[in-house]
Amino acid sequence: MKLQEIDPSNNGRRLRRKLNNEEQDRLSSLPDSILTDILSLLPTNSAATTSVLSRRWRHLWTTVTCFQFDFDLSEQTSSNILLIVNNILQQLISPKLHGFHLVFPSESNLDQPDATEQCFRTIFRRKVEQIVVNAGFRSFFRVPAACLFDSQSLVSLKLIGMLKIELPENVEIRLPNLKKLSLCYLLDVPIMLRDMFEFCPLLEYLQLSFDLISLPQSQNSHSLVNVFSPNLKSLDICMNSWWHLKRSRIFIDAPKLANIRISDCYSIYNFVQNPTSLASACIDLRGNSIIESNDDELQDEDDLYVNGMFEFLERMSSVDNLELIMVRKRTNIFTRLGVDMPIFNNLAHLKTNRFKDLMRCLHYFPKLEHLEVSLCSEDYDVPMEPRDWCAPDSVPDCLVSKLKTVRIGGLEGTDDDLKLLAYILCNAMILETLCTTIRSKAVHRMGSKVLKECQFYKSLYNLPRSSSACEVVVPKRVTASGGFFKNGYATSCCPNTNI
Amino acid sequence: MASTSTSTLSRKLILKSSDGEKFEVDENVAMQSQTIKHMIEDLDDINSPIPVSIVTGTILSKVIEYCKKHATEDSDSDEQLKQWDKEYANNMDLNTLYYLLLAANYMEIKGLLELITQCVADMIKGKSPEEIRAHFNIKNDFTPQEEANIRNENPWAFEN
Repeated sequence: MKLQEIDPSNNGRRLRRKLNNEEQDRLSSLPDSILTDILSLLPTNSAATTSVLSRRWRHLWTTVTCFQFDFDLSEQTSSNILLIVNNILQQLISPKLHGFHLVFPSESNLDQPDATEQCFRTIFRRKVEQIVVNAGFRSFFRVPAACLFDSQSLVSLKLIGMLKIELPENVEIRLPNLKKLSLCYLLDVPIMLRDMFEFCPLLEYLQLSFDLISLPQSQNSHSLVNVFSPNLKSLDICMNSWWHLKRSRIFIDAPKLANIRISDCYSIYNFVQNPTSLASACIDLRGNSIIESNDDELQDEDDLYVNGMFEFLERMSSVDNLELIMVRKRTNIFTRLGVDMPIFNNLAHLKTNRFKDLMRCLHYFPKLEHLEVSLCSEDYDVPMEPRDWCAPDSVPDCLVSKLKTVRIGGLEGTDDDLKLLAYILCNAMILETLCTTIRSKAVHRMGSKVLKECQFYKSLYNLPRSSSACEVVVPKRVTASGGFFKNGYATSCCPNTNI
Repeated sequence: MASTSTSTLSRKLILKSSDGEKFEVDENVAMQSQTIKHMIEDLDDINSPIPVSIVTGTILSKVIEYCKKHATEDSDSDEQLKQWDKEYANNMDLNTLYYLLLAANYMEIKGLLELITQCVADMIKGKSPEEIRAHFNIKNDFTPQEEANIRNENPWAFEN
């Protein structure tokens, strides 16, 4: 009985086998196939150290089906690294390579596409499915496009670096099995992005991150990028530029799209057809625009932009989660909302940074449960735009019967702000939490009296609440220093239950 | 309605370990093993015990514990399931891990096999050859000269 506990594999025959005092080396006795699986999970250098363990392990590491090597902290030059990689690839005997993950030191130079091309050719012969090459985000990486964008086996491709991708004109893209593509930090907009997605029909996930150091060559053409992709589920575009770009268009035709994430202050986006499966959208229109031109000349262009982006937003009426971050008033899409706006029947979560006209817009979001408005503006010296909100003609449905949490950050603590909060508390019947913060150095604006922080919260705390379960949560520092609230948290229920 | 659907779900199977221990399990628990799934397809009498010939009772009970947890997908979030997996693997001694590996391999339970291979890989990762030998009790049967030669073949593997 005791023996059985020591050696769980005991059966009649093995019982009689003597147990050594020393523990046995069972790892080495596992079948090759299992050891290959184990070694394939390791970085290739770690797998290769097992070659000196014992004769049993001498060549096992060469059977791994995945290559991973992180040279991030190495002092080798890029060309030496490529020599090592090619040498390792020659030693690996598996006819099939599932993954190829290579990380270069952060400031490498991969200017010679021929050097990396040799690697890619070798792994394509092994029918590689997954490639991740991280050249370092400050490393110039001229991608051997003709070779890399022609593979039957490739399922997932991720490139990180200062990417320069030029496809020779007569070369065709063939990526029939590609499902995931991620290109991070494109230095320009490769012309191939106008039609390449036709050639990856199975694509499900696409991430394009631009960090333009030169103006796109295609700046004058109708569109910059066309994402025409019948199976795409997730799209992530981030557009940064060192130059002020002219407005150009990005067309999306992806009927199965479920998630979209855009960070871009330049481009006008268009859906060719309604993305009826869209569930989550995160649209950040601030980009990294340092310069926001106040030229009246640009007014027409901006109108075109706001109208275009409004139409884009209109098409997203199926989402249940929407994050909409806008730049100052000129591109506030809420002000554009009119009678022809579709009802967002699924929208449960809304996060935004603009209040103006938001309350009026709640009519279009009848199922809204969670509202988060972060007014905190990054541009410190710029005065906040007046939020002069006005109560909608009728109380929005969602406020009465759906809204459970409201978070508002970055208020100035004005009377106007208090009126807004009073309106919410008075009409929200099932509100559970109202959470607010005032900007600690709220800008003193003409014509409205900035109440002292504590006074503001005190007034807020005494506002009548329609929902008996509603908690009003204010920052800890106020409750700790104010001395007004008991228990440190002003979260107890309704002081005026009769209202 | 509801009661009929649950009764078809909870069809029981009996698994018999190499040392004769019998385990009654729900069909959906056992079906996570591709090997058992194929055996059932060829089986006429579902009530007779299914032999799992190379797995002992001690190990089989652990395998079943894993399969039960993963048969009820809805109850836990992915995060919770991962945490459970982690604790499950951490509670095993080396010996048990080896036999679980063999069992998962033989019974073709993909998730369990991946979990344990990852667990063993994590034990090797970042260790010097000497540390690996000590951890797993591997006997070095190279002469010092032979070992030095191998190290020279791939110096990049031994730089740290």
